[in-house]
Amino acid sequence: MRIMILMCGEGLGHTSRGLALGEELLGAGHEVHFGAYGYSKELIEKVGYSAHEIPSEIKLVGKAGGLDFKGSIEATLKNAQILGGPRILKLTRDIKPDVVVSDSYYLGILAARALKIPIYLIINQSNMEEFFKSRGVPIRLLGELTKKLYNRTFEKVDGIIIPDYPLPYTVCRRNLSFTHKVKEKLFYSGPLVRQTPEETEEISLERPHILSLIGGFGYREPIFRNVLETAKLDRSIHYTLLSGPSVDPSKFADLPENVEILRFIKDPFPYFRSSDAVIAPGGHSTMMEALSFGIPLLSFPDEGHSEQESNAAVVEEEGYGRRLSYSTRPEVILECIREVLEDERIQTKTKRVRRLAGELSGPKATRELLEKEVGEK
Amino acid sequence: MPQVGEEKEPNRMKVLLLMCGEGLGHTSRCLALGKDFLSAGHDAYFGAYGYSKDLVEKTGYTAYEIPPELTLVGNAGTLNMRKSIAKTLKNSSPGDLRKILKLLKETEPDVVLSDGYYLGILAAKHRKTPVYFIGHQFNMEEFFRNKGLFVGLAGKLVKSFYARIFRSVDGIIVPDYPLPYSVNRRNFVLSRDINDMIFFSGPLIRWKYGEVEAKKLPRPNVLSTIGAFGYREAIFRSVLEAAKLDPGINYTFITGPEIDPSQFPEIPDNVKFTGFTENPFPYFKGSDLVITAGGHGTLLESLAFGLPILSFPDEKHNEQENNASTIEEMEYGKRLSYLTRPEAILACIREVLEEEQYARKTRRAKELAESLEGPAAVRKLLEEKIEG
Repeated sequence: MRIMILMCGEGLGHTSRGLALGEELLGAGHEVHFGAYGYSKELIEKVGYSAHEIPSEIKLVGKAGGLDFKGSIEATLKNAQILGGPRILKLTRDIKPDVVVSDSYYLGILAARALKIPIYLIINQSNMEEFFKSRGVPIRLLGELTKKLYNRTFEKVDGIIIPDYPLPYTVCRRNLSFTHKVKEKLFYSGPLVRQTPEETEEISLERPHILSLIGGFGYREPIFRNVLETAKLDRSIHYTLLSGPSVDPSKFADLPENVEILRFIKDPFPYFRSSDAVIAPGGHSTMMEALSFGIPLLSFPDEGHSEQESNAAVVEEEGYGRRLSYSTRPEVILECIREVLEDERIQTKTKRVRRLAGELSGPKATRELLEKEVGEK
Repeated sequence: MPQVGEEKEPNRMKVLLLMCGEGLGHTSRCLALGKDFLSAGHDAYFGAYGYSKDLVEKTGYTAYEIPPELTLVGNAGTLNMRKSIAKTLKNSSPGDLRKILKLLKETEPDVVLSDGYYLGILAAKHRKTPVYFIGHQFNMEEFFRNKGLFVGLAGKLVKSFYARIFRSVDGIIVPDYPLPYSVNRRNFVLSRDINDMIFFSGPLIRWKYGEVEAKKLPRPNVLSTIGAFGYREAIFRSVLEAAKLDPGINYTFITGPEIDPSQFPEIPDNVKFTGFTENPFPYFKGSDLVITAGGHGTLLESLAFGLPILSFPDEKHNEQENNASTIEEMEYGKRLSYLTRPEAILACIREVLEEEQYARKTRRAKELAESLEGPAAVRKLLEEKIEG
C-alpha cells in the first residue's frame, strides 16, 4: 500500500505518533509519505525521513500560564493560506496514495474526500467546543460552528483511530464525544509509540530517577523552577530536566548534583526506560509514552486548557499518578514524587497499562486495520 | 400450589405475583419471593408471559398467562425507543385489563405483588386488593431524553403516569441493597411524599449462597452471561477473543438456547459453553468473576454471590449505563463498552482478579445480602402489613 500520513504541527505529539505508525508501515513493506510543517517537519527529518511541506492549519498562542484563545484564533486566521486547500489537493493527487491517514489535520481530509481516497483520522479529542466554552459570545458561537464542522467531518471519514487504550482505560475519554453513527467507526488502537520498553536499552541513570519534560521557557518556566527547587529538597532523588533548545542551563545558578539539565533529547525512550516517574504537562502523547513504559506521571496541565486538564484528571482518577498545578509548591511536588514512587497501587496500575500497551501493539493493530479495510476496497 | 377457590387457613396469605416479561430479571426475583412465601406456608400464584412464563414453568411452578405490557426493541448495539413505543402500543389491547381483573377474581389474593407490571396495579386498585410495586428504576423519563420531540413527549406522559401509580400503591419494594450500597441509586428519583412507602429489601435471589453447591470449574473461572444474539454478539465475540489471549484463565459462557457452539470456529480449551440453564447459581458459586450486560437482576445475583463484575451496558440504555457506572464507582468491577478490544477486556479481568479491593468489596456485598435476607424480609413486611 502507499500511505500518506499528514499531521498537525501544533505540539509534537501528532508527529510522534505519525512517526510510530509510519515506521510500522515501512517495516511491513509499505510505501509511506509524511506531510508536515514547522517543527513537526523538522522532527521527521531529524529522525531520518523526508517530509512533504503542507500548509499550517491552526496556530496556538500562549501567554502567562495558559493558552490565549482570542490570540490563537487571530493567529490561525492570519496564518491561513488561501492556497492551502489547492496545495494539499495537488500533493495528494501527485502522490496518489491508497489511503490517507490524517492526524488532526483537517485539510487532508477534504483533499482525500475530493479525490475519493480512503481517509482515516487520528484524534485524541473530539469535543473541541469545550475549548470555546465560557469565553464570551463570539467565541462560543465559533465553538458551535466548530462542533458542527467536526461532526460532519467525522461522518465523512472511513475510520477514526483513537491512539489511546480502549475503554475503560482510555486516558482521553473525557475529551471524546461522538454521535452514535460515528461511534461505529471508532478504533481504539492503544498507544501509538515509536518504541516499546522491550526494544529500548536502559541507560545508566541514578535511581530513583525523575524525568521532567516541562520546558524552562515561556509560561511553563515557573514550573521548571519549582521542579528544580523540589530537587534541592531531597538529594537522594535524581532528576533529568529537559529545558528546551532555547534555554541555557548555565543560567540556573546553584544546580544541585542530583540534577542534570538537557536542552534536547534526540531519543527520549532510553530516559523513559530508565526513570521511575515522569513530570510532564497534560499533552496526550507524552502521557501515552510514559504509560506504555509503565511510568507514573505527575501532570501539570496548562491552565485553562480543558483537554490537558481532563487528561490529567483521568491520570489521577485511574491511579496512574497525580495532577498538579502551577501553584503547587516544591514541598508538595516532592510529596507527590515520594507518593508515586512508594505507593504500591500506583505502581501496579502503571505496570498493568504497560503490559496492556504491549498486548494492544498500537502501531501494528492500526497497520492491520488499514491493511484489512483498505486492502479489501 | 393451592387450587383456586380453596379456603385458606388463618394467617396463610394468598399472594399473586405478576411480572413484566422484558428480560428475565423481574421473573427471577418473583421466583425468589414465591419460593420464600411457599416455604413459609403461604400460597403463591404467578402471572407471566413469554419467556418469563416458560422460566416459571421450567422452575416447577404453574403460571397464569397475562398480557404483555411493554415490548423493548433493539437494533445494532442499542435500544430503539421509537420502535419500542410503537410495538408496545401495537401489542396493547383494551381487553388486557379485563384479563387481569378476571385473574384477580379467580385467585382472590390477599395481596398483589407487581414486578414492573402496571396493569396488575390498576386491576388490584380496582378490586381494592392491597398491592405492592417491585421496581428498580424510578427515573424512566431519562429513557426518553434527547431522543426527539415525539419520544420526549411520550416521556412526560410516562412520568406523570408513574408518579400517579407510585402514589396509589400500598408500598414500593426496591430489590436492591439499602442506601448507600444501592446499585440502582442513579436510577432513583422519587418525590419525597412517597419516601415512607419505599422498602429496600436487599437482593431478591432464588438461592442463598449457602444453599448452592458450586459447580466444579477450573479456576480462575470467568462466567459470561452475554448472549450471542442481536446487538450483543459483537461483545460475545470479543470476550471469546479475550479468552484466547490467556489460556491460564478459564471461561464459562451461559448462552441462550439458540446458540450452536459450532458456529464459533476455534473455541479454545479454556472455554466451555453451558447452553441455557434455568439455575445458573452453581456456576456463580464456582466462578471468580461475572461478565454481563448492565441488567439489574444479574448484577445483584453476582454481588449476592460475592463476585466482581465486568459490565457491558447496552448503548443508550440509561438504566444499564447508570448501573454499570455505580458498579465501577463502588469498586465492584468495571464498566466496559462494546468498543472495548479483547486485549483491554483481558486487562480488566486480570485487574479485577488480582486487585484486592474488588474481592474485598464484593465479599462485603455478599455478606450484606446474607444478612438482609431479601425474600424473607419482604415476606415479613407483608405478613405484618396484610395480616396485621
